[in-house]
Amino acid sequence: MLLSLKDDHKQHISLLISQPTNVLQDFCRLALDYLRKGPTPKLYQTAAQKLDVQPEIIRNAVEGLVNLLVESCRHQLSDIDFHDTVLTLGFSEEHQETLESFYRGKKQEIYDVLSQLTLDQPHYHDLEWRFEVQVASRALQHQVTPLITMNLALETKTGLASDSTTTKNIVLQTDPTNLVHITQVLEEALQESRSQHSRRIQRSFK
Amino acid sequence: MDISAHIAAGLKQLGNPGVVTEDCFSKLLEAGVSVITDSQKLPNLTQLCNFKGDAIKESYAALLSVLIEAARHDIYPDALSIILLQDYNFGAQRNDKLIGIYRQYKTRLQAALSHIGTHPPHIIDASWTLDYCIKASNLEQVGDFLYLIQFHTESCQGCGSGTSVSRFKFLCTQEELQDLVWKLRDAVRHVERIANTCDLSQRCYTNLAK
Repeated sequence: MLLSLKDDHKQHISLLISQPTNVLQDFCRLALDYLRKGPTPKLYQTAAQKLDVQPEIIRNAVEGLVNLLVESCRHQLSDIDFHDTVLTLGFSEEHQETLESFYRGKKQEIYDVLSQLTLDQPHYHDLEWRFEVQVASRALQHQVTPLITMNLALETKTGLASDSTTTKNIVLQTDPTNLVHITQVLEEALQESRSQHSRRIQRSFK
Repeated sequence: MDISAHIAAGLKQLGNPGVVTEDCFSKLLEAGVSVITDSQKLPNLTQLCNFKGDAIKESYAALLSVLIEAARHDIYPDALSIILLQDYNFGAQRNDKLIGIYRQYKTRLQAALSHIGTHPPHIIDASWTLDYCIKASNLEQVGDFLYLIQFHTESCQGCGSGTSVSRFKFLCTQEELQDLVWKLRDAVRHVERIANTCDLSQRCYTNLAK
């Protein structure tokens, strides 16, 4: 499957096509820095002076390279597909090798980050439980009421960085009968995902 | 059973046939019990007994207090009967009527009292949806099962004003649901073990007592 890039994207990357391989390697390194720390205007200035172009063009080229990487990860391009895409864009064989090693190195990491961006609903994190007996209260003394108190920890991803998550702790209570009931219900749910029907669907979409 | 002087005076009036007639007494008893267990609209006392309004109100308040305090401290009906006979000069017939009602309604009175208090939301049910996620906006292909679990919880706002049901929703993957189910099964096993040991120890205790 070939990636089709937008026209302005292709234009930004076209600067790199005419450059020698070592310059392309420098650009790959700049792109890696961009992924880790964000844009570095000073480096772009020095690169612009060396290549005798505007700093914006350097910045566009770096961002174009990063976007190429992100789009390839999004579509889960295999090595061959990436190879073909890069050749279609106009890069030479040596350029293509540099770019491929760049892609292979960062593929998994970017895929993990992208997959974390989809979740924004509370997600199960942990459950702690405690079995207790209520002995008395102000309104009624001499009780023997068994209760199970639970602390359900839920995580919600906030913001685009993968390590900003808000954890919400919900304290819930139930009695032994209801505990048995919900355990049964959730076990049924788990069984359902192992049933034939679910497996057939999984196979047909793979 | 601690009762304030005010209520004690009301009780004495309740036991006095001159102030509260038999008919009136029965009506007060019925009204009192229905108010505590059902929390209906407060009965109009002047309609029930049409004389000596203040005395009736005091007796009614005393009756409610006695019923609630006795249920609260889990007092045996016989012990209550002795207290009423000795300390408050209740006639035998009136005493029997009150104790009979108390014996009959004791568990319901206690159930009504147990609703008062603060509890965390009480889980009564769980529902789930199993989705197979095919695509997402920033990933082209995500082939994985995703569960949406909802816990239905009930919080009691005090007897009579109903219970409010709210739902807690969250997502989890297959592995996380497996983890959750293991933890719940652990809790169930623990509860069953305790129930069995309690049974055993009770039987041992009764055997020893014999």
